[in-house]
Amino acid sequence: MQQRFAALVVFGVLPLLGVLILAGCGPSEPQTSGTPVGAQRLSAGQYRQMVSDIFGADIKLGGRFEPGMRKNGLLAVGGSAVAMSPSGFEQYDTMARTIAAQVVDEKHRDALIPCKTAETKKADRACATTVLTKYARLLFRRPATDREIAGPVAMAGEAAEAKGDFYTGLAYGLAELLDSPNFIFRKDVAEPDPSASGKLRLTGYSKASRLSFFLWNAGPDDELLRAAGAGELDKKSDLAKQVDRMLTSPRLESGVRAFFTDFLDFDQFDSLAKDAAIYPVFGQKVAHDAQEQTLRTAVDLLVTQKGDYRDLFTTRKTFLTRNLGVVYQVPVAAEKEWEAHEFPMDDPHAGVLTQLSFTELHAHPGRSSSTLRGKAVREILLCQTVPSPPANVNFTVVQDTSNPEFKTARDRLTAHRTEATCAGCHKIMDPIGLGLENFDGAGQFRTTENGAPINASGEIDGVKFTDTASLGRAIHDNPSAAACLANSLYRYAAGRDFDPSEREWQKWLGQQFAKNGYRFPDLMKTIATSDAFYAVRDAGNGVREAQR
Amino acid sequence: MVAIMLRAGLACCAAILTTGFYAGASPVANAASADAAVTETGGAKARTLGFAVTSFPYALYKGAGDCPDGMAMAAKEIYLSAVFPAERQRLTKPESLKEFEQLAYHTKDGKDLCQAPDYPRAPQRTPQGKISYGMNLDGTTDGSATDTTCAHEKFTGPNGEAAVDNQTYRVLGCSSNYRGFPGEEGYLESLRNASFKDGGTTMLIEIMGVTNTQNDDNVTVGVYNGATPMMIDANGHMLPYASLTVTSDEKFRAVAHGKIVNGVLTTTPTDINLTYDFGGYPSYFHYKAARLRLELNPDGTAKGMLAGYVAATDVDLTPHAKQESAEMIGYDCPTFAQAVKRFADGFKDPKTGQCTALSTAFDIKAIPAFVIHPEDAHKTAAAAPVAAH
Repeated sequence: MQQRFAALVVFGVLPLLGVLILAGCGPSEPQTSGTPVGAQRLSAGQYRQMVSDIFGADIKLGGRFEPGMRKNGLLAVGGSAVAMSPSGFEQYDTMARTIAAQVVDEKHRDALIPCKTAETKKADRACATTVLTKYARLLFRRPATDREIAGPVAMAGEAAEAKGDFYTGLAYGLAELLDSPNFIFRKDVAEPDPSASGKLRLTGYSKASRLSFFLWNAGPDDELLRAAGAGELDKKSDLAKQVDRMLTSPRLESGVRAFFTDFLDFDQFDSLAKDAAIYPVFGQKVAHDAQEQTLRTAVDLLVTQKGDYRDLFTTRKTFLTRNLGVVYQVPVAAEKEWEAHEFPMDDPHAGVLTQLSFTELHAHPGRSSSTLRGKAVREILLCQTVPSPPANVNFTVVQDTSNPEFKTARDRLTAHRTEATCAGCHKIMDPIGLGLENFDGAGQFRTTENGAPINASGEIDGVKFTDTASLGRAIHDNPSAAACLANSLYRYAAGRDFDPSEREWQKWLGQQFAKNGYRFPDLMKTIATSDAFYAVRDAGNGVREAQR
Repeated sequence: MVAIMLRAGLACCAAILTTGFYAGASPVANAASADAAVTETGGAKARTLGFAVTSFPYALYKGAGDCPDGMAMAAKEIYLSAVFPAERQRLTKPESLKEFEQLAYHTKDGKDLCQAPDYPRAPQRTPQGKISYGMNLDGTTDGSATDTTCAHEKFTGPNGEAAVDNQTYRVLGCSSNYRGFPGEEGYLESLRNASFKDGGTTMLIEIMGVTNTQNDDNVTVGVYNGATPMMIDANGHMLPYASLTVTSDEKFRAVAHGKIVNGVLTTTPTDINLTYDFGGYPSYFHYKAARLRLELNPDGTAKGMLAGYVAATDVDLTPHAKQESAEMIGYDCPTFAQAVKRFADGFKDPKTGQCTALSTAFDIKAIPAFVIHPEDAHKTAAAAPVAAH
């Protein structure tokens, strides 16, 4: 027996078993080569959240953000490519001054300024250094270097002397921190990897930022910064502990909401308009609540209930306000609060595709659009690409909703598709969108259009459906839906598209998602604890810190 | 309505529920037809239909030639009609305005006309037509006096309905602010209807226990003021299918028994109190022995009538007013007060024999709504999974 055991050790069978156990008896994470260090501009939501977390929820920003850039479907990916225009910087500067002035005002200074100065009419270098060092660490998501602090401290001193007020001077110093690219941009910093000669790894603080903005859509908290400073995020077990802590925090909800806001293109609501003569029920309150409804539905299903992501396309459980109750034509008892609602089985509302955030967003101002809805399903939810229409397309037939020959969208699109140049693309969009024709351009349910009954049957990737509910079921069962979500979440988390070296990893991620029952928090954990999420490589130019 | 304007003018709109009624039996209601499916509660068979009222003006028949003597005169017109032309010319000059108003708005001994209801006046000009909207409220065919009602002349309904009672029409029917000019709604009526859209007034009707929206001989009907304003669309129109909360003030929640015959709901007489808000001034109306007749339309809307007796003191609030404010809405206090007294036909005071209320009728137009009771509306949103953002 002893001999046999010795043989197992010698020939390495036991170590192999150990590896298999550690890997959860599944395929281990494929290796990737990493990507060059990068930087992302903080989103408006992240900026707001950081200011709120650091200085308090009552601090007003007093400025506007430059619009983000959506790249390959995600603002988070576009955030890695955007810089800042001079007018955009002016806005950041305005916000910086507004925020700083509030931090030092009489209402806030006792709580936010950790030192007392004896003489308020002149500079106090020691106190200014204490304050600015404290906030630089939180704003930069890492301890600031002496050089980074020196400038704002000098600025605070000069301004205090010039204005004859310590707090006014301090506000100038704080504004300089808030204007810094180290705050406005999430900059990756790499360092030599001591465990792999010649390779790079992200610093602990860079890892902390990636993790925190991904899971919470906010900067790292004190505990995460501490762990980063102590090198704990370089150890898989300690990293996993931090991820578990963050996944069980109430702040996870913010992270999930931020992802779905980006994933579902909700920024388009900012410019959404409807023809009031045709859709008088549409208004800004309804548009606001429509987004919130879907976000609440997603958070409830995915985080609170820990449900299967794919059920988002079939769930009848949602949350409503009275503004939404009017559109869905259901009672909402709560006057001001949100109220849980479950549509009955014979109701046409099932899944997010039938929610206003989808049906009203993906429609024209004065009519529904099977094409836009089909395109949105393909591009957003299935991550497929639909080619742009040729420049010389004649849309007359589609746009004329009063033509008695073509009463329904199906009639009009069938006529439109007779043009060979249009048929190819419409074939992949329209059959999906026609399944949602029971919802008009404002998302209200209807059974007829121009007096003609609406036929909401269709086919998606070979699967036939008869109505909106079965369309939702078809998308639920479509393998591309889950894969799309997994890929999008990773791209959102990393703020970039997949690297060619990540093809196997991408496949593995999808397998992990399926293995975990398509549970969204598990998918977040898979990404957050993966090597690939933090992997960086030298781009060959020796740059180890993202430049902005 | 008059009351409201007077109160508004005086800024003395104390929130009082004026009742000028004495207890007494009241006559029976009529019946009438359609389909409205809105809220479904309590299982597949018993349904609740909810409605929000969008229009509630006095039901005033506007037949050509109804006011052959002209429209009812206000105090200034009355005064001018009694003086020589030269004096008339002098008083109507701008520099004479103060003197003119002093003369026109006061009795000979200087008392405000609204505090002198018995001041001698010619009878108010009233409709002379034989047709009016309304219902037979006293149960008689000829309007002769009963133990509880006073003798009055009956109308015939526009559709030929016999023995219609509507003495309020006699008082208000030739008042331009109610009747309006040809093709126009009266100013006061437009104000009342605007209060629904402006959020000042919400009035809800709930039909409970409906097993068949065409024919059901046993339903319960609630008529309530609402506590939340009507919801308005992008064009300023009231939205159907809004969830609207019933007031928690029980005074303004009435319940009656009813039946539906061929899609028309009728209810048994019951007392209904309603409050309206006109431009920020609340007004309270107490309808005694009131009954509904509502056509339930297939599109979920309803239209019909509320008829009953309105307290004379709800119609005539001249004791609370000044003639100056009465003039704004175009009537003369003593003339009006005397008309109200003269035409009162219901809820006879057994001691004096004077009737204390006037038969009346209101047009109702309503859209489908979800009627939410306050105990449901104020539940905490425990089901909501996430904090407010």
